[in-house]
Amino acid sequence: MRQAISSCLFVLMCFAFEAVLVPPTSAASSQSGTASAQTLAQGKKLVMSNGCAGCHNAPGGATLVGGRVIGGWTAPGLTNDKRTGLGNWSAGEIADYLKTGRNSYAAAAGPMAGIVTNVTAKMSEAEVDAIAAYLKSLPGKAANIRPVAASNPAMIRGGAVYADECAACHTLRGVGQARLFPALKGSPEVQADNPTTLLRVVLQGAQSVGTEAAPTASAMPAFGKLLNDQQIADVLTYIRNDWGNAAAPVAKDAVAAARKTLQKTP
Amino acid sequence: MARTLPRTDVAIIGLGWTGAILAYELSGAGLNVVAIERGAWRDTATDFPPSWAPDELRYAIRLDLFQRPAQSTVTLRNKISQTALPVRQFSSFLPGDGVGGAGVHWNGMTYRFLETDFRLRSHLTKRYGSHILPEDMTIQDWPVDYKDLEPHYDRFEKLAGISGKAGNIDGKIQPGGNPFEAPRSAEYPTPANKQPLGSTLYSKAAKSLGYHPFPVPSGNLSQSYTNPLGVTLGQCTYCGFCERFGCGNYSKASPQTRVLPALMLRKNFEARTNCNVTRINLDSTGKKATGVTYVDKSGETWVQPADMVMVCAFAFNCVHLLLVSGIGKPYDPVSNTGTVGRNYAYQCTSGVLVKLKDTILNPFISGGAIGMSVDDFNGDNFDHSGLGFVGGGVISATQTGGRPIGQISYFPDDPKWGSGWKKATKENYQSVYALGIQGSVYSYRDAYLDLDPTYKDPYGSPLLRMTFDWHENELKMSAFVTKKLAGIGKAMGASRLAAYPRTAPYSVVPYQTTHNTGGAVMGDNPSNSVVNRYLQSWDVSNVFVFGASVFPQNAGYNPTGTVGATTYWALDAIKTKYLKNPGPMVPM
Repeated sequence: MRQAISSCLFVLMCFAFEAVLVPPTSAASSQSGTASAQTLAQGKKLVMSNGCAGCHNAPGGATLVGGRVIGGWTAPGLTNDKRTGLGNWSAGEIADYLKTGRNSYAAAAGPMAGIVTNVTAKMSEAEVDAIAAYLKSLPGKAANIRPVAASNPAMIRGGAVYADECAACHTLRGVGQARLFPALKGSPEVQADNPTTLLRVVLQGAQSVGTEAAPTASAMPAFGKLLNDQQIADVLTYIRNDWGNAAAPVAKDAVAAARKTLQKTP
Repeated sequence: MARTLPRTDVAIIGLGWTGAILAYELSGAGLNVVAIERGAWRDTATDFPPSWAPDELRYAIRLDLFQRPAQSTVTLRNKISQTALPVRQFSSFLPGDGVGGAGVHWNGMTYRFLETDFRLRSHLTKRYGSHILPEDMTIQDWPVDYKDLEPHYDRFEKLAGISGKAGNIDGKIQPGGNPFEAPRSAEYPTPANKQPLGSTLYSKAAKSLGYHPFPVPSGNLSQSYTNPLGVTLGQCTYCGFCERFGCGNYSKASPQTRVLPALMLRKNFEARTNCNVTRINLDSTGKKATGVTYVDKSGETWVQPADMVMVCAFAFNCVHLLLVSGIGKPYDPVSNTGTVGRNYAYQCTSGVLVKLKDTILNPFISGGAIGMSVDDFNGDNFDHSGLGFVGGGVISATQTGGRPIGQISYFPDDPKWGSGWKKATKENYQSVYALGIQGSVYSYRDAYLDLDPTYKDPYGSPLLRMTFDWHENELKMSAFVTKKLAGIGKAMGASRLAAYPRTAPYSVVPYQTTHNTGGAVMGDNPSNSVVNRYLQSWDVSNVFVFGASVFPQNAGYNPTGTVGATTYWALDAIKTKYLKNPGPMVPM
């Protein structure tokens, strides 16, 4: 069963993560620091044997740094990098995500929903802990991107769309609600170089996974009919560059292109 | 020709609050459960997304979530001497339809009834003497005490995550809560909601008059909460689209947001939607149900055999099913015999409009159950000596929304059209506040439900006939309590005020409340009730009835908390007694 799944190119898709509320890496690094060599080896083995790398390695092959676009979803990085990986999560948060499909910052959706249901939710506590310890041990790459200025007209327009349409669930501070609505602040999905996931989720919506441990399969509504290309581009630029986030702006044309692609291959 | 399906342990009719709770608990006990729901499947994410679901025209005006008269309706008359006519547009009350039932469109007010509400007749007789009760008033004590229900109220509140402030924990009065409330074993699961301006002003005024305002116990959550089923709810955003709407924000407690995510993972549970149960089938003795018959969306008829039948429809739909299935003896008010349909009650609502000059109320910042209440004039919390009536009501300031079509209030002398109307609309929206009362309705010999002799539903069954009018007792109660509310309105500094006590006759046209109760009441013996204290039919012991139709009379509160408590109470008995030894749980 696991072999069958591991041969599939599924994305370990973390729909959004949170950065700043987490007591940064102290807890996390101490946890990975204390993990035994045996645990790290077990974690590495589980990650490799379950095919995580098939989606989460870089297009060029770099280990678990993310960036591949598979089935219309961008796979986020799984390293300890704070902007594009899991650097803001403790090992416990990673284990929680794998076991229940969600944690304080994110909820599994897209291809990762199936992975949680069929693979990681069925793992033992020791197994998900080992994976978490291993992922925390992967060094992150230094991020060096300057955010789009708050005074940029796209940021101002996008902030207004955000307040009207998004803030009810994701909150004005971008922190979402624990175990229900993903945080956008500090999220590697939100700040991914390639915004494919963001475009899909805003245009079409997304349903997170419900598991025995956390049955609420909260969902993001589709905004494709409610917002035009410019509004979606603006709001995405905004969420990628407020609250300490930093990523390239999203152009109106990219939204139009994503609409077309999603029409053909939803 | 009906086709017969494989047997199941439990058939549940209607998948609202009670159906969902029963399905979760009984499937958890290892039974195979099939819920059969007349309406459509409804899910938070796909049916109520906040991107388009706050649509007043679709939901509040065109009543998208409600029962349509074409599905079924009731006929109505005020007096036994009249001929009842069908309600062709639901208006005074709005029965829900579809998965979640009334639990989808409710506002979320989750009160407990008073201790004296449960021993109403004996309490009032003892305190005032039997002469205080009108001769035709048929109120009776519940067959359960508040103490029996307390753990089950608590359980329902924890399921729903209710936000509130306790007024009485184990007999100790708590500041900030309702000092009249019956003793609770615990604080509310989540803190009280923050109050908008209108209810804050109301609360101040009530306090200045010596009353005891408290936050409405609310199903619109003050903070994120995970219930004992592991299901998570978010914080209410005060969007103002509770009443008549589904909540797309996962913040209003409903079967969808509280039970179904966990229930739908169960492999021994199945929900069949768009399937209308037309009859509960009985064996040749008439004392045992063999299952139910239903018609699916394509018009095909099916028989679902089941060991237990749980009747979980809207209050008067439960009574209708019992009557058309021949379970129990229909009530006849003339000979005063039979029980099914007896003690139908409603709620006697009234209101007061106040204009608060130079105040900006921003009524759109609101939630269905976010407000302040005063209980000083509810139930028997005040001395009724010499007042000429019994009963009362909870009086509240709950601005449920600021919707443009239906939620702008006008005074009687405001112009009804033209530029004067526009001017009033502009002024009133921000400065006129509507205060309201949920008044009790006690039961009477001539207020009842039976089958209509003329009109039929699409399946050929007679429609339910409702015979109901206001009685002197309720009208006096309404006048008295509304006057008290007007006093609070004056103390708020109203520059204009209009009071609307209830007046006879009962009219089915203006919306009043969907808190229809009775008709299948619970009691301590078969001569005064349809079901026993465990909500089990006296006549057919594998049929159980849940919801407000089992209330012997109606109290001055919203019913859902008590519906939840009685459901959990009966479930306990079913699990610990009935399943071990199926048969009557109370000897006749």
